[in-house]
Amino acid sequence: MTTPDAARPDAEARRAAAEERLRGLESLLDGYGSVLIGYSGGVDSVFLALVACERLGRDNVLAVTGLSDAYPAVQHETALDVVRRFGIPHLEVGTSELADPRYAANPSNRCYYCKTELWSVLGRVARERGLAVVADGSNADDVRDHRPGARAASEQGVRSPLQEAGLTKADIRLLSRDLGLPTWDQPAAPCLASRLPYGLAVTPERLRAVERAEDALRTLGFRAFRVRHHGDAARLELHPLEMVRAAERWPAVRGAVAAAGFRRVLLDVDGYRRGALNEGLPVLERIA
Amino acid sequence: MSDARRASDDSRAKTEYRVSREESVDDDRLASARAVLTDAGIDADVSAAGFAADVLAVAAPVTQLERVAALSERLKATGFRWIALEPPGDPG
Repeated sequence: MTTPDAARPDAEARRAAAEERLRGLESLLDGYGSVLIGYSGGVDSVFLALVACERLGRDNVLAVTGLSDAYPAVQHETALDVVRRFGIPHLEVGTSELADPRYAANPSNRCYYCKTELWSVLGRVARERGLAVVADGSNADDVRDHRPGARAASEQGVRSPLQEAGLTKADIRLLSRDLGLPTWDQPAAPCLASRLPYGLAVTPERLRAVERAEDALRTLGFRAFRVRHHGDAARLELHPLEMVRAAERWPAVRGAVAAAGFRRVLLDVDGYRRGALNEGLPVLERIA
Repeated sequence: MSDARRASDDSRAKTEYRVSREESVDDDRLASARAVLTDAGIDADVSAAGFAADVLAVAAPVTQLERVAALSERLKATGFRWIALEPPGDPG
Protein backbone atom coordinates (compact mmCIF):
# COMPACT_ATOMS: atom_id res chain seq x y z
CA MET A 1 0.00 0.00 0.00
CA THR A 2 1.28 3.47 -0.85
CA THR A 3 1.31 5.89 2.06
CA PRO A 4 0.71 9.60 1.55
CA ASP A 5 4.35 10.30 2.51
CA ALA A 6 5.63 7.80 -0.03
CA ALA A 7 3.40 9.26 -2.75
CA ARG A 8 4.55 12.82 -2.15
CA PRO A 9 7.87 12.61 -4.06
CA ASP A 10 6.00 11.23 -7.06
CA ALA A 11 3.51 14.10 -6.95
CA GLU A 12 6.32 16.61 -6.62
CA ALA A 13 8.17 15.06 -9.53
CA ARG A 14 5.02 15.21 -11.67
CA ARG A 15 4.52 18.86 -10.79
CA ALA A 16 8.15 19.71 -11.55
CA ALA A 17 7.88 17.97 -14.93
CA ALA A 18 4.66 19.78 -15.75
CA GLU A 19 6.16 23.13 -14.82
CA GLU A 20 9.19 22.41 -16.98
CA ARG A 21 6.91 21.70 -19.93
CA LEU A 22 4.97 24.88 -19.14
CA ARG A 23 8.19 26.83 -19.57
CA GLY A 24 8.56 25.16 -22.95
CA LEU A 25 5.06 26.29 -23.87
CA GLU A 26 5.80 29.85 -22.80
CA SER A 27 8.91 29.85 -24.94
CA LEU A 28 6.91 28.68 -27.96
CA LEU A 29 4.28 31.37 -27.42
CA ASP A 30 6.98 34.03 -27.10
CA GLY A 31 8.13 33.03 -30.56
CA TYR A 32 4.61 33.46 -31.99
CA GLY A 33 4.26 37.12 -31.05
CA SER A 34 0.51 36.95 -31.59
CA VAL A 35 -1.91 34.07 -31.83
CA LEU A 36 -5.48 33.09 -32.69
CA ILE A 37 -6.60 30.10 -30.64
CA GLY A 38 -9.35 27.71 -31.66
CA TYR A 39 -11.34 27.90 -28.47
CA SER A 40 -13.98 25.32 -27.55
CA GLY A 41 -14.16 26.01 -23.83
CA GLY A 42 -12.60 22.63 -23.07
CA VAL A 43 -9.78 22.01 -20.60
CA ASP A 44 -7.00 22.38 -23.16
CA SER A 45 -8.06 25.45 -25.15
CA VAL A 46 -9.04 27.32 -21.98
CA PHE A 47 -5.62 26.68 -20.48
CA LEU A 48 -3.83 27.65 -23.70
CA ALA A 49 -5.84 30.85 -24.05
CA LEU A 50 -5.07 32.00 -20.52
CA VAL A 51 -1.35 31.19 -20.70
CA ALA A 52 -1.18 32.97 -24.08
CA CYS A 53 -2.88 36.06 -22.61
CA GLU A 54 -0.47 36.15 -19.68
CA ARG A 55 2.56 35.64 -21.93
CA LEU A 56 1.72 37.79 -24.96
CA GLY A 57 -0.71 40.31 -23.54
CA ARG A 58 -4.42 40.39 -24.33
CA ASP A 59 -3.96 42.61 -27.38
CA ASN A 60 -2.05 39.82 -29.08
CA VAL A 61 -4.43 36.98 -28.41
CA LEU A 62 -7.86 36.13 -29.81
CA ALA A 63 -9.80 33.04 -28.75
CA VAL A 64 -12.29 32.06 -31.45
CA THR A 65 -15.19 29.65 -31.07
CA GLY A 66 -16.75 27.98 -34.09
CA LEU A 67 -20.50 27.64 -33.61
CA SER A 68 -22.52 24.89 -35.28
CA ASP A 69 -25.23 22.36 -34.47
CA ALA A 70 -22.54 19.90 -33.36
CA TYR A 71 -21.20 22.22 -30.65
CA PRO A 72 -22.77 21.35 -27.28
CA ALA A 73 -24.64 24.23 -25.61
CA VAL A 74 -23.26 23.20 -22.21
CA GLN A 75 -19.73 23.62 -23.57
CA HIS A 76 -20.66 27.00 -25.05
CA GLU A 77 -21.81 28.19 -21.62
CA THR A 78 -18.49 27.15 -20.07
CA ALA A 79 -16.55 28.85 -22.86
CA LEU A 80 -18.38 32.13 -22.33
CA ASP A 81 -18.11 31.93 -18.55
CA VAL A 82 -14.32 31.55 -18.70
CA VAL A 83 -13.69 34.39 -21.17
CA ARG A 84 -15.83 36.70 -19.02
CA ARG A 85 -14.14 35.74 -15.77
CA PHE A 86 -10.57 35.86 -17.08
CA GLY A 87 -10.88 38.68 -19.60
CA ILE A 88 -9.85 36.62 -22.60
CA PRO A 89 -10.50 38.38 -25.95
CA HIS A 90 -13.11 36.26 -27.68
CA LEU A 91 -14.95 36.00 -30.98
CA GLU A 92 -17.64 33.63 -32.22
CA VAL A 93 -17.97 32.60 -35.84
CA GLY A 94 -20.44 30.31 -37.57
CA THR A 95 -19.17 27.18 -39.29
CA SER A 96 -21.14 25.12 -41.77
CA GLU A 97 -19.66 21.63 -41.74
CA LEU A 98 -23.16 20.10 -41.84
CA ALA A 99 -23.61 21.59 -45.30
CA ASP A 100 -20.69 19.47 -46.53
CA PRO A 101 -22.09 16.10 -47.67
CA ARG A 102 -18.73 14.47 -47.06
CA TYR A 103 -19.05 15.41 -43.38
CA ALA A 104 -22.77 14.70 -43.10
CA ALA A 105 -22.29 11.15 -44.44
CA ASN A 106 -20.28 10.53 -41.25
CA PRO A 107 -17.28 8.58 -42.52
CA SER A 108 -14.55 7.58 -40.07
CA ASN A 109 -12.55 10.64 -41.13
CA ARG A 110 -15.55 12.95 -40.52
CA CYS A 111 -13.43 15.17 -38.26
CA TYR A 112 -11.15 15.93 -41.18
CA TYR A 113 -13.96 17.71 -43.03
CA CYS A 114 -15.16 19.50 -39.90
CA LYS A 115 -11.71 20.76 -39.02
CA THR A 116 -10.99 21.72 -42.62
CA GLU A 117 -14.03 24.02 -42.45
CA LEU A 118 -13.14 25.31 -38.97
CA TRP A 119 -9.50 26.11 -39.68
CA SER A 120 -10.38 27.64 -43.02
CA VAL A 121 -12.72 30.09 -41.30
CA LEU A 122 -10.33 30.76 -38.41
CA GLY A 123 -7.37 31.20 -40.75
CA ARG A 124 -9.30 33.91 -42.56
CA VAL A 125 -10.02 35.68 -39.27
CA ALA A 126 -6.33 35.50 -38.30
CA ARG A 127 -5.29 37.07 -41.59
CA GLU A 128 -7.89 39.84 -41.27
CA ARG A 129 -6.76 40.63 -37.72
CA GLY A 130 -3.03 40.36 -38.42
CA LEU A 131 -2.48 37.50 -35.98
CA ALA A 132 0.72 35.64 -36.80
CA VAL A 133 -0.17 32.10 -35.76
CA VAL A 134 -3.29 29.94 -35.56
CA ALA A 135 -3.13 27.36 -32.75
CA ASP A 136 -5.27 24.55 -31.44
CA GLY A 137 -5.50 22.89 -28.03
CA SER A 138 -4.25 19.41 -28.96
CA ASN A 139 -2.11 17.94 -26.20
CA ALA A 140 0.62 15.31 -26.06
CA ASP A 141 -1.86 12.52 -25.29
CA ASP A 142 -3.90 13.20 -28.41
CA VAL A 143 -1.33 11.66 -30.73
CA ARG A 144 -2.39 8.24 -29.41
CA ASP A 145 -6.04 8.57 -30.47
CA HIS A 146 -7.82 8.44 -33.84
CA ARG A 147 -7.72 12.11 -34.86
CA PRO A 148 -8.20 12.75 -38.56
CA GLY A 149 -8.90 16.37 -37.61
CA ALA A 150 -5.21 16.75 -36.80
CA ARG A 151 -4.39 16.23 -40.48
CA ALA A 152 -6.68 19.10 -41.47
CA ALA A 153 -5.00 21.32 -38.91
CA SER A 154 -1.57 20.36 -40.17
CA GLU A 155 -2.55 21.02 -43.80
CA GLN A 156 -3.60 24.54 -42.87
CA GLY A 157 -0.49 25.31 -40.86
CA VAL A 158 -2.21 25.23 -37.47
CA ARG A 159 0.23 24.86 -34.60
CA SER A 160 -0.33 22.69 -31.54
CA PRO A 161 1.82 24.33 -28.86
CA LEU A 162 0.58 22.18 -25.96
CA GLN A 163 1.53 19.07 -27.89
CA GLU A 164 4.81 20.54 -29.08
CA ALA A 165 5.73 21.37 -25.48
CA GLY A 166 4.90 17.80 -24.44
CA LEU A 167 2.09 18.82 -22.10
CA THR A 168 -0.20 15.90 -21.28
CA LYS A 169 -3.83 16.09 -20.19
CA ALA A 170 -2.73 15.38 -16.62
CA ASP A 171 -0.19 18.24 -16.79
CA ILE A 172 -2.84 20.61 -18.13
CA ARG A 173 -5.35 19.68 -15.41
CA LEU A 174 -2.70 20.17 -12.72
CA LEU A 175 -1.56 23.55 -14.06
CA SER A 176 -5.16 24.66 -14.70
CA ARG A 177 -5.96 24.04 -11.06
CA ASP A 178 -2.95 26.17 -10.05
CA LEU A 179 -4.29 28.97 -12.28
CA GLY A 180 -7.73 28.74 -10.69
CA LEU A 181 -9.40 27.67 -13.91
CA PRO A 182 -12.83 26.10 -13.34
CA THR A 183 -12.19 23.69 -16.19
CA TRP A 184 -9.34 21.85 -14.44
CA ASP A 185 -11.51 18.83 -13.63
CA GLN A 186 -14.03 19.22 -16.45
CA PRO A 187 -14.79 15.97 -18.31
CA ALA A 188 -13.82 15.84 -21.96
CA ALA A 189 -16.64 17.23 -24.12
CA PRO A 190 -16.10 16.49 -27.80
CA CYS A 191 -18.62 17.60 -30.41
CA LEU A 192 -22.06 16.00 -30.50
CA ALA A 193 -21.36 14.27 -33.83
CA SER A 194 -18.91 12.05 -31.95
CA ARG A 195 -21.97 10.32 -30.42
CA LEU A 196 -23.06 8.98 -33.82
CA PRO A 197 -21.43 5.76 -35.06
CA TYR A 198 -19.63 6.15 -38.36
CA GLY A 199 -22.03 5.63 -41.23
CA LEU A 200 -25.08 7.09 -39.50
CA ALA A 201 -25.70 10.43 -41.21
CA VAL A 202 -25.15 13.53 -39.10
CA THR A 203 -28.33 15.62 -39.05
CA PRO A 204 -29.40 18.54 -36.85
CA GLU A 205 -32.28 16.41 -35.51
CA ARG A 206 -29.98 13.61 -34.35
CA LEU A 207 -27.57 16.05 -32.76
CA ARG A 208 -30.45 17.69 -30.89
CA ALA A 209 -31.71 14.30 -29.67
CA VAL A 210 -28.27 13.50 -28.25
CA GLU A 211 -28.03 16.90 -26.62
CA ARG A 212 -31.51 16.63 -25.07
CA ALA A 213 -30.73 13.17 -23.70
CA GLU A 214 -27.38 14.24 -22.26
CA ASP A 215 -28.89 17.36 -20.72
CA ALA A 216 -31.55 15.18 -19.11
CA LEU A 217 -28.92 12.85 -17.64
CA ARG A 218 -26.97 15.82 -16.29
CA THR A 219 -30.19 17.03 -14.66
CA LEU A 220 -30.45 13.62 -12.99
CA GLY A 221 -26.95 14.16 -11.56
CA PHE A 222 -24.81 12.12 -13.94
CA ARG A 223 -21.47 13.55 -15.01
CA ALA A 224 -19.19 11.10 -16.84
CA PHE A 225 -21.18 9.55 -19.67
CA ARG A 226 -22.05 9.57 -23.35
CA VAL A 227 -25.34 9.00 -25.13
CA ARG A 228 -24.53 7.14 -28.34
CA HIS A 229 -27.09 7.54 -31.12
CA HIS A 230 -27.83 4.32 -33.00
CA GLY A 231 -30.91 5.42 -34.94
CA ASP A 232 -33.98 4.51 -32.93
CA ALA A 233 -31.81 3.31 -30.03
CA ALA A 234 -29.75 5.26 -27.52
CA ARG A 235 -26.83 3.37 -26.02
CA LEU A 236 -25.74 4.86 -22.72
CA GLU A 237 -22.10 4.65 -21.76
CA LEU A 238 -21.67 5.60 -18.12
CA HIS A 239 -18.60 5.70 -15.88
CA PRO A 240 -18.55 2.49 -13.81
CA LEU A 241 -19.34 4.41 -10.62
CA GLU A 242 -22.35 6.01 -12.29
CA MET A 243 -23.59 2.74 -13.77
CA VAL A 244 -24.60 1.56 -10.32
CA ARG A 245 -26.65 4.70 -9.80
CA ALA A 246 -28.20 4.41 -13.25
CA ALA A 247 -29.20 0.85 -12.45
CA GLU A 248 -30.82 1.97 -9.21
CA ARG A 249 -32.76 4.72 -10.99
CA TRP A 250 -33.36 2.97 -14.27
CA PRO A 251 -37.02 3.95 -14.82
CA ALA A 252 -36.11 7.64 -14.46
CA VAL A 253 -33.02 7.30 -16.64
CA ARG A 254 -34.89 5.38 -19.31
CA GLY A 255 -37.78 7.80 -19.29
CA ALA A 256 -35.53 10.85 -19.60
CA VAL A 257 -33.60 9.45 -22.54
CA ALA A 258 -36.69 8.09 -24.30
CA ALA A 259 -38.30 11.51 -24.05
CA ALA A 260 -35.38 12.94 -26.01
CA GLY A 261 -36.54 10.92 -29.01
CA PHE A 262 -35.35 7.34 -28.66
CA ARG A 263 -37.61 4.31 -28.91
CA ARG A 264 -35.08 1.99 -27.29
CA VAL A 265 -32.77 2.85 -24.39
CA LEU A 266 -29.79 0.55 -23.84
CA LEU A 267 -27.22 0.46 -21.05
CA ASP A 268 -23.76 -0.44 -22.35
CA VAL A 269 -22.31 -3.09 -20.03
CA ASP A 270 -18.71 -1.93 -20.57
CA GLY A 271 -19.38 1.63 -19.48
CA TYR A 272 -17.96 4.91 -20.70
CA ARG A 273 -14.62 4.95 -22.43
CA ARG A 274 -13.16 7.70 -24.54
CA GLY A 275 -13.16 7.02 -28.28
CA ALA A 276 -15.51 4.04 -27.97
CA LEU A 277 -16.87 4.58 -31.46
CA ASN A 278 -13.36 4.05 -32.83
CA GLU A 279 -13.40 0.52 -31.44
CA GLY A 280 -13.54 -1.90 -34.32
CA LEU A 281 -11.91 0.46 -36.79
CA PRO A 282 -8.94 -1.10 -38.56
CA VAL A 283 -5.70 -0.10 -36.83
CA LEU A 284 -4.33 1.69 -39.89
CA GLU A 285 -7.52 3.72 -40.19
CA ARG A 286 -7.33 4.68 -36.51
CA ILE A 287 -3.88 6.18 -36.84
CA ALA A 288 -4.41 7.79 -40.26
CA MET B 1 -21.12 -33.77 -10.87
CA SER B 2 -20.32 -30.66 -8.80
CA ASP B 3 -23.11 -28.63 -7.19
CA ALA B 4 -22.17 -25.62 -9.31
CA ARG B 5 -22.31 -27.64 -12.54
CA ARG B 6 -25.62 -29.19 -11.54
CA ALA B 7 -27.07 -25.77 -10.76
CA SER B 8 -25.92 -24.49 -14.13
CA ASP B 9 -27.50 -27.43 -15.93
CA ASP B 10 -30.73 -26.98 -14.00
CA SER B 11 -30.77 -23.31 -14.93
CA ARG B 12 -30.31 -24.15 -18.60
CA ALA B 13 -33.05 -26.72 -18.48
CA LYS B 14 -35.48 -24.09 -17.19
CA THR B 15 -34.32 -21.35 -19.52
CA GLU B 16 -36.56 -20.32 -22.37
CA TYR B 17 -34.83 -18.08 -24.86
CA ARG B 18 -36.68 -15.78 -27.12
CA VAL B 19 -35.63 -13.57 -29.99
CA SER B 20 -37.08 -10.12 -30.40
CA ARG B 21 -39.97 -10.14 -32.83
CA GLU B 22 -38.17 -7.45 -34.83
CA GLU B 23 -35.17 -9.61 -35.58
CA SER B 24 -34.73 -12.57 -37.84
CA VAL B 25 -34.32 -15.85 -36.02
CA ASP B 26 -31.86 -16.72 -38.80
CA ASP B 27 -29.28 -14.31 -37.41
CA ASP B 28 -26.46 -16.67 -36.44
CA ARG B 29 -24.98 -14.03 -34.20
CA LEU B 30 -28.07 -14.00 -32.02
CA ALA B 31 -28.06 -17.75 -31.73
CA SER B 32 -24.40 -17.69 -30.70
CA ALA B 33 -25.00 -14.90 -28.21
CA ARG B 34 -27.92 -16.81 -26.75
CA ALA B 35 -25.66 -19.83 -26.31
CA VAL B 36 -23.13 -17.74 -24.37
CA LEU B 37 -25.88 -16.46 -22.10
CA THR B 38 -27.34 -19.93 -21.73
CA ASP B 39 -24.00 -21.27 -20.59
CA ALA B 40 -23.97 -18.63 -17.88
CA GLY B 41 -27.53 -19.44 -16.85
CA ILE B 42 -28.93 -16.08 -17.87
CA ASP B 43 -32.51 -16.04 -19.07
CA ALA B 44 -33.12 -13.10 -21.39
CA ASP B 45 -34.42 -12.06 -24.79
CA VAL B 46 -31.71 -10.94 -27.19
CA SER B 47 -31.95 -8.73 -30.24
CA ALA B 48 -29.76 -6.77 -32.58
CA ALA B 49 -30.22 -3.02 -32.10
CA GLY B 50 -29.11 0.10 -33.88
CA PHE B 51 -29.10 1.22 -37.49
CA ALA B 52 -26.29 -1.20 -38.30
CA ALA B 53 -27.64 -3.99 -36.05
CA ASP B 54 -24.26 -4.08 -34.34
CA VAL B 55 -25.46 -3.66 -30.75
CA LEU B 56 -26.47 -6.79 -28.89
CA ALA B 57 -29.41 -5.86 -26.67
CA VAL B 58 -29.94 -8.24 -23.78
CA ALA B 59 -33.41 -7.77 -22.32
CA ALA B 60 -32.57 -8.41 -18.70
CA PRO B 61 -33.16 -6.46 -15.49
CA VAL B 62 -30.43 -4.14 -14.26
CA THR B 63 -29.66 -6.63 -11.50
CA GLN B 64 -28.03 -8.72 -14.25
CA LEU B 65 -25.63 -5.94 -15.26
CA GLU B 66 -22.49 -7.39 -13.68
CA ARG B 67 -23.17 -10.90 -14.91
CA VAL B 68 -23.68 -9.77 -18.49
CA ALA B 69 -20.68 -7.43 -18.28
CA ALA B 70 -18.53 -10.38 -17.30
CA LEU B 71 -19.53 -12.03 -20.58
CA SER B 72 -18.89 -8.95 -22.71
CA GLU B 73 -15.85 -10.18 -24.61
CA ARG B 74 -17.42 -13.57 -25.33
CA LEU B 75 -20.59 -11.88 -26.55
CA LYS B 76 -18.64 -9.50 -28.79
CA ALA B 77 -16.89 -12.50 -30.29
CA THR B 78 -20.26 -13.62 -31.64
CA GLY B 79 -20.21 -10.64 -34.01
CA PHE B 80 -21.44 -7.56 -32.15
CA ARG B 81 -19.45 -4.38 -31.55
CA TRP B 82 -21.27 -3.36 -28.41
CA ILE B 83 -23.09 -5.24 -25.67
CA ALA B 84 -25.91 -3.56 -23.79
CA LEU B 85 -28.71 -4.34 -21.40
CA GLU B 86 -32.21 -3.33 -22.37
CA PRO B 87 -33.88 -3.43 -18.99
CA PRO B 88 -37.66 -3.33 -18.92
CA GLY B 89 -39.38 -0.27 -17.58
CA ASP B 90 -42.06 2.22 -18.36
CA PRO B 91 -40.45 5.10 -20.26
CA GLY B 92 -43.41 7.20 -19.14
